Amino acid sequence: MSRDVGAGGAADLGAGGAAGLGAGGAAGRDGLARDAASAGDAGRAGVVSVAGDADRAGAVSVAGGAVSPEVRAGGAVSPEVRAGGAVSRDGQAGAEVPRDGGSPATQRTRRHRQDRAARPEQDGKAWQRRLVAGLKRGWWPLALLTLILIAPELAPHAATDVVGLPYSTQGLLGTDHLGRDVLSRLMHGGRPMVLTSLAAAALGTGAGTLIGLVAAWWRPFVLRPWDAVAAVPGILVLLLVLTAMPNRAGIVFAVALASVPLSARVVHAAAAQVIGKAHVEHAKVRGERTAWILGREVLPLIGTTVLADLGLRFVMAVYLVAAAGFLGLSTMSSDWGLLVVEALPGAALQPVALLAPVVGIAVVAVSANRVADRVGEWA
Amino acid sequence: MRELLTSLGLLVLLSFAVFVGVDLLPGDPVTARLGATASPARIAEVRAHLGLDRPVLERYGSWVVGVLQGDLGVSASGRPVASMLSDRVGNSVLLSVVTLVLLVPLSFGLAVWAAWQRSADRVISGGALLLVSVPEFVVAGALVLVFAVSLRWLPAVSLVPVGSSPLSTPSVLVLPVLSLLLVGLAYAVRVIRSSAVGVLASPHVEFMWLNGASRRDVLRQAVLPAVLPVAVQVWLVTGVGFVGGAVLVEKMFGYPGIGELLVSSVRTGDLPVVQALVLIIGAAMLGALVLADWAVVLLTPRLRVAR
Repeated sequence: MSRDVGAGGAADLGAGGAAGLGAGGAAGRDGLARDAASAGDAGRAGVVSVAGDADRAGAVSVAGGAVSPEVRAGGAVSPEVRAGGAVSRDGQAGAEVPRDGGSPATQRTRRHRQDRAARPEQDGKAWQRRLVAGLKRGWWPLALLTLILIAPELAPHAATDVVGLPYSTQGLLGTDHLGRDVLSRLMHGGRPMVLTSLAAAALGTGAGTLIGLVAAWWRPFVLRPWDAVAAVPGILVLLLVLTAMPNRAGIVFAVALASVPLSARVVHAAAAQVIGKAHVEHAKVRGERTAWILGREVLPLIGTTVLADLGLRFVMAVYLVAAAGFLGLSTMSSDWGLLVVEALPGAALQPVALLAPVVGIAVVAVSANRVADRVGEWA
Repeated sequence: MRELLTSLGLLVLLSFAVFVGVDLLPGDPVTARLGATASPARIAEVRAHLGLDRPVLERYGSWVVGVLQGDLGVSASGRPVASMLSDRVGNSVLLSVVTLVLLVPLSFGLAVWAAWQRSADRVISGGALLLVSVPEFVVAGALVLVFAVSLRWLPAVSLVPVGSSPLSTPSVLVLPVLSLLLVGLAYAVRVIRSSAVGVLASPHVEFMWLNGASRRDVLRQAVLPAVLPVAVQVWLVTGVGFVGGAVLVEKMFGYPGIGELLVSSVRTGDLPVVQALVLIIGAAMLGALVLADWAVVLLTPRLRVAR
């Protein structure tokens, strides 16, 4: 049994949580906490697929089936966070996951029933409509993202301009210990943080997908060496890489490196199901090249899984990038993590300067989590 | 036994990767620290002083021999790494043990409560999602604002006199423990709750209800045995994660643990200390995973019999 209990042996345990833990468990608490969902993914992917979802026809739904129980379970909770504890806005998610979850098995049958009911109208247009609806529901995080990206252009001052006395109430959010405008610093710090996180998440998921596909096609053994990386908490990987590369490329590389093992596991779990399918066997017999099969026959079917994983990697990336700023290892002049450290000593005099970046990071992290949930639901 | 060997192999791999990886990365710690204007002679001198002029495999070999003899090498500051670590490891373990002692009953209770009662679930799951998304220092920052700045109940910085244990001034432990606890709790509650929800929705629990089993019986006979293996895994991994993952919290409060040392070593490019710390934290993590696997087998009769 050994570590396979965690890795993919969900079937042995029957408890998705336990399996998920193993996959992400190796990642250490840092990665883990933020990867609760992704760890769940891997585990659930195991449970659902081992149980054999033969009934679910259609490419997207198979890939989605591997992820959605977990993502949906999260999805059912989160509207409350957004709506501030009000009734769930999203009737569908609420109805689908009574008591917020249900065992994977009950969820599966429930979705089967719904699928059967929905199948007649499930043509291309319905899919498009759902995509649009998904975008509509996801407007809030998207608007936030746009706002953060254009904010530096709108900032009243430069990030390092001294505009007044230290800790004065000048400006909307006051000034910091050097008399710099807190609002401007906040607005300037958002874009580099989000862009760095995006780059790191894309790189990590890309490499993870490649490794996951190779592992699913060839031998799961390929994943083993990455367990060593996964055993190191993400924050440690970050510190380690930054020892040698103390620059922005180092941050991107470190975050990507920390995400690869988790991405690879999730993709491996999803791809292993697809690779056994008839159309892949057919392509093999046809004599197609391996790269062609993986890219054209396998990857499209697990696209949603990869996208959902990208969302989770982004959450993790925001966390690590903010942490790098907090630890003073970032090269950006007004990173939000850096703002937190700088505001600490003067927190009694200027609490807003501490509160603003704290709230900012929390809002970005939570909404990134929401987007990751939404992407999973598109399937 | 096999898993123990696998973990040992992974640990060797990890230490090797750290050694060679840091060497292979495009950046150069010495140039980066001294700045671009440093003279080549000065760079060569520092490299020789740190032993970086020898081939990487030779350095790794002598380091491994040293570690096997209990010698973790000498830090760039000239002090033996082992003596730098001794107090710090104790402090970090103390922090994580105290947090874990609080975490175990709280996470179990809250998670089962959330799975049991829908109204409680809203608050608990919502809070857990929020806390799980944000970095520890954000939680810690919020706590500082409330307890240290507004209420002035607790110190914002954990000043521990050199050579004494944090236990001599327990008030410095409160905020670090609380920060770690909240974040760890969020993760543990999410995992344990989803497992408990699955059990409560299963046919055999329904069968028990229909047979008129009391709430206590359902909890004791169905929920507890099914959830415990998952919970033990979460606790073990979270507990070890506290030792290594407390980096941000220790830095936030200036708590003298290994996380704080790690950050300052990275900043000064003190490789021997970083390597030793990664080895210790990696070993603890792999050890916890092995223990967690064993615990699952012990607590799951089906797996126990299969052995």
